[in-house]
Amino acid sequence: MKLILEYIRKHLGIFLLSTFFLVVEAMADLFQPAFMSFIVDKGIKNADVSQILLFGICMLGIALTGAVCAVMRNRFASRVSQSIGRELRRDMYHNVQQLSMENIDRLRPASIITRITNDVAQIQDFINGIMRIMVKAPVTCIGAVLLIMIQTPGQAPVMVAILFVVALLVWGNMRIGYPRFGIVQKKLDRLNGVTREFLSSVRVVKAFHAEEEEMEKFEEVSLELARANTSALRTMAVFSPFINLTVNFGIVLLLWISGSRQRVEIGRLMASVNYMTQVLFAVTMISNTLNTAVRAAASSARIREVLDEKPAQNMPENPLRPDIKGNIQFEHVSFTYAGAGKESLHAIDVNIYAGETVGIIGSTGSGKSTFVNLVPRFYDATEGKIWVDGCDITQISPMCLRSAVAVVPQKALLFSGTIRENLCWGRADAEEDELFAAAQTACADTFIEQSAQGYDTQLGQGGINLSGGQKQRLCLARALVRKPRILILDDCTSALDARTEAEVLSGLRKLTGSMTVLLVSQRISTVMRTDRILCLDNGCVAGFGTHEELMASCTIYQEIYRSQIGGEYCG
Amino acid sequence: MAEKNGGVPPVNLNGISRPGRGGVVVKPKNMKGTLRRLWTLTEGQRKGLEWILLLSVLASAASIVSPYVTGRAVTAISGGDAVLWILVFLTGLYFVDWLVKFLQSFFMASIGQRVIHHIRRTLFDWIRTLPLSFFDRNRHGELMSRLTNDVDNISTTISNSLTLLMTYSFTVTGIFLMMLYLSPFLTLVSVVGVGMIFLLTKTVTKYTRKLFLRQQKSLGLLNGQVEESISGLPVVMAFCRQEEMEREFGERNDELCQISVKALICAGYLMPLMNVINNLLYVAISVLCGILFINGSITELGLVTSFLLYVRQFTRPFVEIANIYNNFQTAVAGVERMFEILDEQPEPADRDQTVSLEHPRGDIEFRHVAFGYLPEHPVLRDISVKIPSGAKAAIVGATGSGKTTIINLLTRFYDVSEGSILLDGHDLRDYRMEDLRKVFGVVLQDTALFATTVRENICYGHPEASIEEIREAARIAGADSFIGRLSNGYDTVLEQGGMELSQGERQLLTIARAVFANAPILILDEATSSVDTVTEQKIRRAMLKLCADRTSVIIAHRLSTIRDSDLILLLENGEIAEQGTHEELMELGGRYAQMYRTQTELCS
Repeated sequence: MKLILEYIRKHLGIFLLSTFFLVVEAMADLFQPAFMSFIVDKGIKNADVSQILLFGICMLGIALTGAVCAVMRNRFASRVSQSIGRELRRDMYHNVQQLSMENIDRLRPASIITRITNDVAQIQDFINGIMRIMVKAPVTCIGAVLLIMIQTPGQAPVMVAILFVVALLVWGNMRIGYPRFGIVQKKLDRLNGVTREFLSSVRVVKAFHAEEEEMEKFEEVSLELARANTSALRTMAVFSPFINLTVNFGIVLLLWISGSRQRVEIGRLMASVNYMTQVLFAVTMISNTLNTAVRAAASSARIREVLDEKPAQNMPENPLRPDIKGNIQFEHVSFTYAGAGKESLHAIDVNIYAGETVGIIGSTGSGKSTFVNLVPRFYDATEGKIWVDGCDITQISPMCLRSAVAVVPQKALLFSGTIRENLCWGRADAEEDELFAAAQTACADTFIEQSAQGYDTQLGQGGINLSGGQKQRLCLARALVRKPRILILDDCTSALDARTEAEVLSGLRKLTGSMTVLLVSQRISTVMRTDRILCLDNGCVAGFGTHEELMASCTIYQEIYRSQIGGEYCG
Repeated sequence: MAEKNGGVPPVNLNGISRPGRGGVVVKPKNMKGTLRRLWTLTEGQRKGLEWILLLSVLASAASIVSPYVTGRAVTAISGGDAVLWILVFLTGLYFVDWLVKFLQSFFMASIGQRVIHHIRRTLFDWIRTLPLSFFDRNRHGELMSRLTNDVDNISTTISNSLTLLMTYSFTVTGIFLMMLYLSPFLTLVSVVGVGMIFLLTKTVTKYTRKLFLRQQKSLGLLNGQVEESISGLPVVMAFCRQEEMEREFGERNDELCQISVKALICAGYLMPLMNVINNLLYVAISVLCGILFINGSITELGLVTSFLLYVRQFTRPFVEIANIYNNFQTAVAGVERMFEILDEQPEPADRDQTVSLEHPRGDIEFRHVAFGYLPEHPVLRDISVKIPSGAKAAIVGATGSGKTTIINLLTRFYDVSEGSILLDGHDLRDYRMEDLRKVFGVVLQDTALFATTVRENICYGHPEASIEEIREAARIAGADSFIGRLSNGYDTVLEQGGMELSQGERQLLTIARAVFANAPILILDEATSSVDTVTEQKIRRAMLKLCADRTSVIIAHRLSTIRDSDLILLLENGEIAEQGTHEELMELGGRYAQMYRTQTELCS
């Protein structure tokens, strides 16, 4: 809730303006019954049409004022709630862009997305609601009570007593209902979790014929949700009618007190009854926001988490902007993923020279991807230092570092837009023939030219209209357009058939010398022809040298070689 | 029910979902049929629901009578008459109102939830029988909200709208009759007023609907951008595109904000205008009352006050009814989408005459099999091949050549379009689905794990398994060593559905799961693609042991790993281009030999 207040404070001017109009609107609502009573008491009772017309015009005037205020209130309130929504989204998005991979791993992308979209929408609804309910209801209540007191002072004690009981009931409703709706929210999350799991594993479920078990799981959480809901709704079922009854009882009392006195003006009495019903309506609205309030609180907590997430990496105060050539030096580098118990890399000492092509091989979990992810500072080394051209990379401006490094990730990720736009991600000002050249090296030119609009073909979200291999080749071309000093290929040819892969590799080989290439692969045939090969095992360097050197000295490398190429040594 | 009055905007008192309020209304295709069908889903709760309906009739009766009684009381008081009995009656009325409302909502809390649970259950129960094509065709996010939130929202909206619609129609009819009884002429005036309100609502919603549609579209664009850029964040970071992304996001965000404000402002005109008309009506009737009172047409003051109270109550439901009806329509359209799922064809039922599959040998034969996910795009054409019992078959081919499709057909995730697949001499469709699926031990491309313990993941489908059996399976798959390193060993809960493990570790677990299933036919769909070759060799060796007396079908990219297969199938464009053992194919000197050489080309 503090979060919401913080953002409201930014629009305090408009918020107060809208509150002002709201108060006037509420007062106009309250004065209407007064004039109604005048029409009856002064006009109809005395059969005085001119009086009726006079008060009628006043009443219409007030109604019009109220209407204008309501329109203005709505105008400002909408602006406030929508602006707050916009700012929440913007701030979250902005903060997420500043975070490092470590933060993103922790928050999980899917969760960030729902927070930016759904949770913000929830908050907007709530803000819209509080303007109308949290502010208007108390104003109406207090105003109505005041007016009753003024018009019929004798009833004041009864009114106060009734309102006290109502306030008590509303408070009780909140006290008991709030945690229950909180439980409902939790159970709903669980149901979502189970459903998501079922849907994403449906093949496995079917293959193992475990539909029954999944059904049982689903049924259990669904039932739990139903129970939690019943319990929460029952709280409302107990309290709401009681609040109704109390206010209605107030009406009876009001009538009773008036009846026991002499000479009460009928219009006033009507107005008082009317005020009571307005109080009832306002109070009912308050207790009905319970559910929304719980959701908004949960949402704001989730938004808070994103906004409060501090980038896990420190940015240098006086960043260096060296002209990067491509020498990379790992000095005693160790790395542990946040939350993981064991080190992923341990005391790595490696020297890679500019222009060199280095193959990186090793078993699953040996730290290949981790190794290359440290170079563009996706993660920071837990221990030790990484130097690029003699500069500690934590001292280099991240922009400068990353614009010299191009990464082709394991998972081919493209963005909606044309092929050309995607390729220009590498460099916005790339010339046409540079795009062609990059596409050619990546063996992407043929299929691009064969598609209907060539380079202007629209890609769907995530490039869904392409095959896995085509996506990988486009990603490679995108990286090449950048003309990087350091090119990182993280097992990015896995979806290519052997022939295309060989073509791509030989195309890349032509570029060697102009840039440092780190080539991660599972296949020994892919890395064999590189200048040097880094063989990793369990986060440690098992060997670093040419193919021949490793074949002579590195047992792990030999083992990989034997398993893939077999006994026949074709050197 | 007391009078609700005084230009208070209609905040959804009963948790009716928002769309209807000037928002986008989706019209149902067949309201009557859908509702009737929905009613069939309430089986078991009907008695309760009928009681609740009865209670709501009572509640509306109370709300019709109470203003009349209040009016009488006011008249009595102003006339100085004895008011006690009227008040006693009024109090009694309020108590009835209280009791009825309490009972109604208290029972609705449990009955309604039971109905919702039942609907959800029915949906899930149906969905789980649907063929894989259904899950491939529909977006998971959408299915998910269908199963969770939608059911809730739709049911609540429908039950609330129904009760409210009923209450309001009773109220309106009741009040109308009362008004008619009090003064037909004034009633006519009121009806004119209601007509004006109706016209106003129509005009305003015409504009707001357009704006809300635009808002919806703008929201869709923004959400799409967020989804894409956040899930592609590593690439955004690598290419330093944060600023561009923020700019793009900012533009869409501003646009959404603008259009939303416009839509809300436009929708916000309705209520105040309505209030003005309401007041106008009130004044007009007051003036008329005054005139009638003067010329003696009306003699009783109480009549005037009662009538004025009724007028206020008469117009309100009309406004609400329009709103509620829109909500109701949207909700019914939602139900129709829900029923679309129930109308999906389930996996084909077992044939009447099924063949028992007690001791499967594992003879597989494809006879002129053709298949396409879409009829116009054949994926497999005329596939004929025999995989004898105990043989190790391997399928190779470029991406999109139809390798995975063969697996999909073999496990009957999909049924062949033409030809037939035989297992032990009988068509797959002659077996019971349950028996058939037990024949296959499958390791699939996606390493789907569940958010339970490692142990439960391995013995998936057999919760009664002993820990020794589970350990044995893990040992064979080579997963025991990393499981031993987990904080709680076999009882470690994979909170994030395995995402906390490396891809290789996940794969090892899925292999252990297949080992545990101990099925006569093993299917590995690129199962070892993200396991390094050393580990893969370990798995291969384990699998070989496992494969010794069973049929296996393996799909792999790396040709080196399948050289010892008994049968290698090379798929090209949905057809079998070459088949034979490694040696035979090498001798043939065709595409396979070429591929093999390219993969090992670098060492020559």
